[in-house]
Amino acid sequence: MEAESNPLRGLDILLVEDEYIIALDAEEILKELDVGRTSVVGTFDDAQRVLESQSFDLVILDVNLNGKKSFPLAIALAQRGTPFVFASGYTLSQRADMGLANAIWVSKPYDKEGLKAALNQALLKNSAAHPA
Amino acid sequence: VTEVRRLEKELRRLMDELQHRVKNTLATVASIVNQTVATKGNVQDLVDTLKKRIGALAATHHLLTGRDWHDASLHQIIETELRPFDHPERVHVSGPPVALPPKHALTLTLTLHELATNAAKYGALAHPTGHLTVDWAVTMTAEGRRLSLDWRETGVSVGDPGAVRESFGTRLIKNAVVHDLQGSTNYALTSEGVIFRLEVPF
Repeated sequence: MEAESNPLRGLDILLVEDEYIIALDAEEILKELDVGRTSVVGTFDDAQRVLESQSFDLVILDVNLNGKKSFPLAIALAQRGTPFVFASGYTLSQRADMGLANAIWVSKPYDKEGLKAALNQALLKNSAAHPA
Repeated sequence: VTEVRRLEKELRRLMDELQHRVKNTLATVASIVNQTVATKGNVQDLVDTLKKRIGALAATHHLLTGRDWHDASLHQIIETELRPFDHPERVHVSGPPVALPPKHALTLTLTLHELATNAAKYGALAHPTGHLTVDWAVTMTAEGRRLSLDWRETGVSVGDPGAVRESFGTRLIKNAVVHDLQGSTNYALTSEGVIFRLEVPF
């Protein structure tokens, strides 16, 4: 169906999302987008542990993990050059208040087109910042 | 003037918090709809299942709102879930008063709802000989308080437990408490019915 090549195909993805039912939904969408593998963790500490021992092609970070902000994880990802997107229900003005208006965001509830666009944008931004 | 400023700021903070919470609730509902649509072929069955899943969440929202979104009573959550199945002689619920924080209340609601739904379709609440016991205890550990809850069905005749396909409901029963609350679960479908245990720190 999709004639153009899909940069997301086969990628190894980490989804950091603290609500099981929402994570299930995102996993389904990622499957439809033809990614390779999706690993899911639900807490800040688990995300940190997994990121210390494994690398991923792309990371989706829920901003608010049981009341704990995921920003330190984002900083670590940026330092090692792993593309990521923030996921949240925050408005544009709230994002600006957090000093993160320029980060790549996907808003919740997740939808296929929104997630696809954000993930592709994150890949592009990253390859511009870290040319091969 | 300073007082007005302070109040404006406080109001803004509350609006932001509300907006965040509403968005999250809508995301949960959207996910429930997607997952339910994916697994139900029959439209009437789909509508019925959706209404009940969303209704279970709404009931706990109501309990939480009555407590200023502070906590909800485990007893009341279970009561609400089991009320439609009016079999007092076959259902035994017991445990000490437990006030669950909002996230615990909502995740346990979804878990208990799926257990009750399955019991009403195939298990202890579907068979005249079936019995359901739900009991729980709170223990203090080095890490803090821990809730253990047992859901035991007996008097059900399950043909071949191994042949039962794992549904969305069963996946939710096994995994939501683990993922959302860093708890543990143990689910077994025996020839007598479902035996389920969950433990969560809170």
